[in-house]
Amino acid sequence: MKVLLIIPAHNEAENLPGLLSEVRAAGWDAVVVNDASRDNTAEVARQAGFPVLSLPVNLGIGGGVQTGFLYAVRHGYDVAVQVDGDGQHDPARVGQLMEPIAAGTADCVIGSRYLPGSPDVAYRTPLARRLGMYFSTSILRLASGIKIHDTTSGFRALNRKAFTFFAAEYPVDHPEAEALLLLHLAGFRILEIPTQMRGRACGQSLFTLTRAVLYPFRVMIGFAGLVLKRHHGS
Amino acid sequence: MLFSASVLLVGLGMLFVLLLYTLWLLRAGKLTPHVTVRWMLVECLTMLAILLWGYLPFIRVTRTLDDRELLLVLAIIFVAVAAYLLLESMVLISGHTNQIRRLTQELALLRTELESKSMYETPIPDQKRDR
Repeated sequence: MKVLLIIPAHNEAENLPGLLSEVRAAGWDAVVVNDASRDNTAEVARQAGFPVLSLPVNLGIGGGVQTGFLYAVRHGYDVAVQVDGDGQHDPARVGQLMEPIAAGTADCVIGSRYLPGSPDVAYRTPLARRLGMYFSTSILRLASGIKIHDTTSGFRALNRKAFTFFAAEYPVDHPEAEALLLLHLAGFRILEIPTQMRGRACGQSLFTLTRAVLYPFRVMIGFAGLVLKRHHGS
Repeated sequence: MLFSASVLLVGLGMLFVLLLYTLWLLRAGKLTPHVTVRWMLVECLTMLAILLWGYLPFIRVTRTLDDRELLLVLAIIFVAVAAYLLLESMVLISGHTNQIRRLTQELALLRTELESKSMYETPIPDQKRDR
């Protein structure tokens, strides 16, 4: 099975060397999506020997990840795994994430920090993010009936069918929860498995207070758009 | 001066200034003609409606309204037209944003493709240059 790790990175020059050496040690193929960074993210990734997709203008996390999906489609990969460039996701856990996909029991597997029974107790989620996550979990359940405990987790593995679908259509802003609804509406199987994440080593998260305030509205409008589009299409 | 006549003059004056500004933006190349078409059409139609005040069946109804009601009706119509034009502009912006996103992604993919090809390309032998 050809597996590609998609690493979206915006000003992550400090975090990338550690992450990329872990990826190298684990033996995975990876592509770094440099989302118009102002630092030397692209050079750091190139020096580590990984291909870099350098976006000339900032597209945000959604546009960056979608570029990675396009790369995976064109290079004939079977599985695409999203790994955040801030080093929160441990490449050594990619194997666990891929198991259900290799077994054919899921199209998308989410590494979850909050799965009942095996939550990641060591991981500290900032309050704003936690509130946003509760909101998106509830609204996703209302819109689709599925219960995902970690809707904001960016640690996801997708089979070829699922990432080919996303290469054509993927939400742009705060895409995690919206992408799940999109997958569910298209009939893909989603599975959550427990995982552990690390704190960001350097730099600051892009999820600021302003973004946290706007997040519920963006999720609601995004969900409404998807549901309306689906009704219009059917 | 009658209220309706003052409204007519102020309305026409403002629309004329707006039309001049639109033309200036066009001339300066800040607006593309195909984007401006609807906006110009609405401006001209509104000017026509104001000029034919009293002859159009819908506007004749407004004669039965008092001054405050008339102002309110005009304000509501203005807001509705402005909102419609704003939505139209947002549709255009959304379309262009999607196009830019696709182009940016394709550019990044092509660059990487070129980089990887040039990396594996054999360098031109020095002999040719010597000749």
